[in-house]
Amino acid sequence: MRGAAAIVLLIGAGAAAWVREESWAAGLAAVGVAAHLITAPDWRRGLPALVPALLFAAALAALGQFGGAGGLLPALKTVAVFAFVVAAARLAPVEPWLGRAGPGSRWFRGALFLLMVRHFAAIFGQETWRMLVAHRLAAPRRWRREWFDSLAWAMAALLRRALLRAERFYAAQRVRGLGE
Amino acid sequence: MKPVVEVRDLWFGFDRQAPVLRGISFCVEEGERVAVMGPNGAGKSTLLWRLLGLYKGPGEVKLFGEPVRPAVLARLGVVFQNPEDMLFMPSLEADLALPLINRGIGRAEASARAQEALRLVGLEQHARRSASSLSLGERKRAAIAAALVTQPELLILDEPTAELDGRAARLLADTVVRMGVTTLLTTHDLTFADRVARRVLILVGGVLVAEGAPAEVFSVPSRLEAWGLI
Repeated sequence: MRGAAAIVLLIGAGAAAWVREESWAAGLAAVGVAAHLITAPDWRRGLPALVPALLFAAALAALGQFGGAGGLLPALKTVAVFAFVVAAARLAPVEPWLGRAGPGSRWFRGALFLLMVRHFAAIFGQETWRMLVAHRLAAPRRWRREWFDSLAWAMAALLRRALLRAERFYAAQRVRGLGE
Repeated sequence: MKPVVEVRDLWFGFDRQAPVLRGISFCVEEGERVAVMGPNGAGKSTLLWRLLGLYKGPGEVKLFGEPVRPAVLARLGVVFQNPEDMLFMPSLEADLALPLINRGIGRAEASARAQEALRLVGLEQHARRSASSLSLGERKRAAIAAALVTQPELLILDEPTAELDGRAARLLADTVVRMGVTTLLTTHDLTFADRVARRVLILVGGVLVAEGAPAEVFSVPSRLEAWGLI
């Protein structure tokens, strides 16, 4: 049952990658985020994992605007694909899949990919949580200009940190022979 | 003695105006344990990443006498600074068995070798637990086991004692020495380097400024202070 639900979510990710209309991408992003939050152990723990992806999508949208490309399609697709894949990784019975699949097979690689996504989403969540706690301590008085300023800097630092962690995680797996 | 690591005139920089590594040359021979030491920002981790081919730049790196490529990387065991970057499976045993299974080794043998590697680092009783449920010191030792499970000919450790308390660092040093594998590590921890390394290289501002046995290099406190190590 969980496996079937995970496969449906992966189909959702595939559809989000394929769509060409912003309205469809927005709809799929909304469904993906809902799936992401529903499949998290609790939504407050699920939300932080989504923040770096939202920041990355916002950066993509801003670059598109500055570059004159316009449109929110790449940003919406990013959020939708990330949210669907993380939700699928949480639901998928990855360990039994890995146990049954032949090493090097597509099924094995797919299950491994989902495990890595699940782990990486957890790292994203931890990084976001740490950054938010640090920001709360540094700027305890909310809804003031300085609070918003410092939050923007904290989010920029979080995006950098998330990219760095992604680079290190990929490098570690590549050196272990698992990243190709 | 055969050279395992040969580095000649290595340069690297994220910005051309401010290179992080400036003409680094050194050699690690078979059976040696060498520590690259320097203060934060000296370029220690960048040097390792460049050695592993994760960064590109001028200069020559040879591992086991060959340029860096996937077949050569398969002969290494690398322990990254953050164990979470390496261990992600639901149990330590699965984490350790995975690269073996991926290399076509049967599941039963992979599992036995994973158990053996965990025994070497004193974590056999935690084989069924996930890395995230262990203490940081245990996670670091688990990461070493994950690097050792493929029976590497060269072990590379990036800042192994970062964030560890004294006891955990001592246990880790004992583990590395006991393994008897050719080892190249980066650290700014004098005690750890003294326990583990037969030779230390001092890296300051991207340049190797000193080299020798730990007792000899650490003997002048004013120099250690100038290098930012104390």
